Amino acid sequence: MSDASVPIGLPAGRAGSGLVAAGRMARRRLVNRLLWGIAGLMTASVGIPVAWVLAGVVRKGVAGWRWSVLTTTTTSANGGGLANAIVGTTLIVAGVVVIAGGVGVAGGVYLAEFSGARQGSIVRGASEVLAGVPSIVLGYVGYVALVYHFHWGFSLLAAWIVLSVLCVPYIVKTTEVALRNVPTAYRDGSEALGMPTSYALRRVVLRPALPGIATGLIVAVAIALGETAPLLYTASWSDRFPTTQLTHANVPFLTYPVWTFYNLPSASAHRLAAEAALILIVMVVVLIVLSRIVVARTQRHTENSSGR
Amino acid sequence: MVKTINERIDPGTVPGLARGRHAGAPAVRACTGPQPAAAPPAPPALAAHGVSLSFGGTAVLSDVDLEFPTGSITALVGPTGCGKTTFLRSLNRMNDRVPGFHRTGTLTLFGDDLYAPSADPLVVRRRVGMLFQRPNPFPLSIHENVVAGVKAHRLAPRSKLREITESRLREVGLWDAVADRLGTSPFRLSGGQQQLLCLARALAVEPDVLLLDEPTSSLDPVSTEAVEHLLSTLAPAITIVVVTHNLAQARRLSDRTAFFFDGRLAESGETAQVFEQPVSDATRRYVTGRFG
Repeated sequence: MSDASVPIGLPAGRAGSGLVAAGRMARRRLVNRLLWGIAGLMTASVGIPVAWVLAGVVRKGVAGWRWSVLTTTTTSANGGGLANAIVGTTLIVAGVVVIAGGVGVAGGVYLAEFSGARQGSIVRGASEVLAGVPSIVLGYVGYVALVYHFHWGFSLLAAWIVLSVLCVPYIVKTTEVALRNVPTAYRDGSEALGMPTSYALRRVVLRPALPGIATGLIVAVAIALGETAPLLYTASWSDRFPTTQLTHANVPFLTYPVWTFYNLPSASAHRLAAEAALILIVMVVVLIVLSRIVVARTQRHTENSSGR
Repeated sequence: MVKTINERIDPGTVPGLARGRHAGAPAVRACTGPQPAAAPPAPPALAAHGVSLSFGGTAVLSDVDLEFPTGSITALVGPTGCGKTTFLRSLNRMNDRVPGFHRTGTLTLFGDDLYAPSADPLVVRRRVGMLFQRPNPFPLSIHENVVAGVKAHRLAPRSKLREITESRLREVGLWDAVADRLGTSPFRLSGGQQQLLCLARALAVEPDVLLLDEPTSSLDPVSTEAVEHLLSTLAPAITIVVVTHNLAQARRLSDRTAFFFDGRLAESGETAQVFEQPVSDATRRYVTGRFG
């Protein structure tokens, strides 16, 4: 090379010809604006309908709000309150968190940490098929198998099992993805210290994966809260408070009035439907906030939270 | 410090006695000296005999014979992809779970077969510790990081853990910097401090051997010197094996050097000899900077 001052990769004539690259930058800016515009449009096309529905539900729910809704049970004339349904939904969701959360997290951990390639693809495939089954089909299977064939009747146990089956695939998926995103350096480090795999998992690897796992659980709980079809087949409805009796006892739940009462003629039924929808939304929001707080507490020592 | 370095690379010094601490340690002398003593020689800390390593049928390293005398520092050098890291990782069985990994030949720790059916890989890894290229503190507090291995192996009662943290952090020279924030995240420390913390964590389980995979390649010169100094003080008590691309580091830090080239062990011996009078042509060209 005779002329050592010309940087490699730059045409010789360009070196030192100023900072303006004619035309190119204007085009980049235009494309940039265009793409941001499209992205904004897309966001609006999702956000506006959601906001509209939410505003409608909240407005209707808040308009004639009576605190007695929270303390009294539904009357046989579809008036009164929703205390029975609130307790019922809470019972159902709590059970689903335990059953589906346990099975789903265990499944995700198995897929991410323990399964071989072949067993892994079988379990993963099965889980994905399950995620694609319509909820009303699961509800009907639950009805035929549990309510009818096992003679459990409409019951808490049948509702738990069917809703758990519905939620497990989501939890498996999110748990597996969350664990796979944990840096291999943590695994290498704990393996090099001679930690048993399960110990390293509990003490080191699981912690940075918790936000992902928690998010999966919240999505699952939100699904469980909002499902109607499987519960119509398995829990049915009751005007009275649910008991902890596992079989042969109908369980009331909040989506029932939203779904059924809205089609009834009476104004009191309409009001209950709007109030049930409002309570459901508040429950979901509270759950999300709670989970964020829990997640933040577990992330104190992770790289993400170290800041700056 | 500087004096120690000069002593170590002085080709005239008896290699096993390069550091003052070695004097009066007959076992060490017997192993590192050119002629073993007449008494039955103690087995070296680590030894490889006819070791070949492969992944999914592709040979990475063939037929390696190499001994790591107790208390010595051995540098593994060679171009990228020559198999030295794979070799290092099989010294504490870190390749066990890698799909397709296959090994033939024997690797021993003080004469015991590392891969014997009765050998517990968890015990192997406690006795043969490892430090990685990039600092990898766990997402736990600084204190919990230091005692992570101690707790996993239940080496000390709960009441002793604070003591262990302090003594190990003092050992690596990190105590004064972190004493008032043991409960905070290690990720606010500098890269060099994080690496020292990882070293404290590795030392806390009292290993016999420490494997280091380019431990200073992501550190600045000052941190590098801190780590090197520390390693040179650890050496008589702990046998050290260090993979490095930094030939100057290999030269000033190690007693012995092994040069890997093209999937084979091209040459090994006293560091001074390997650098000053290499036997193999590839070694000579590598250490003189003709390639690599």
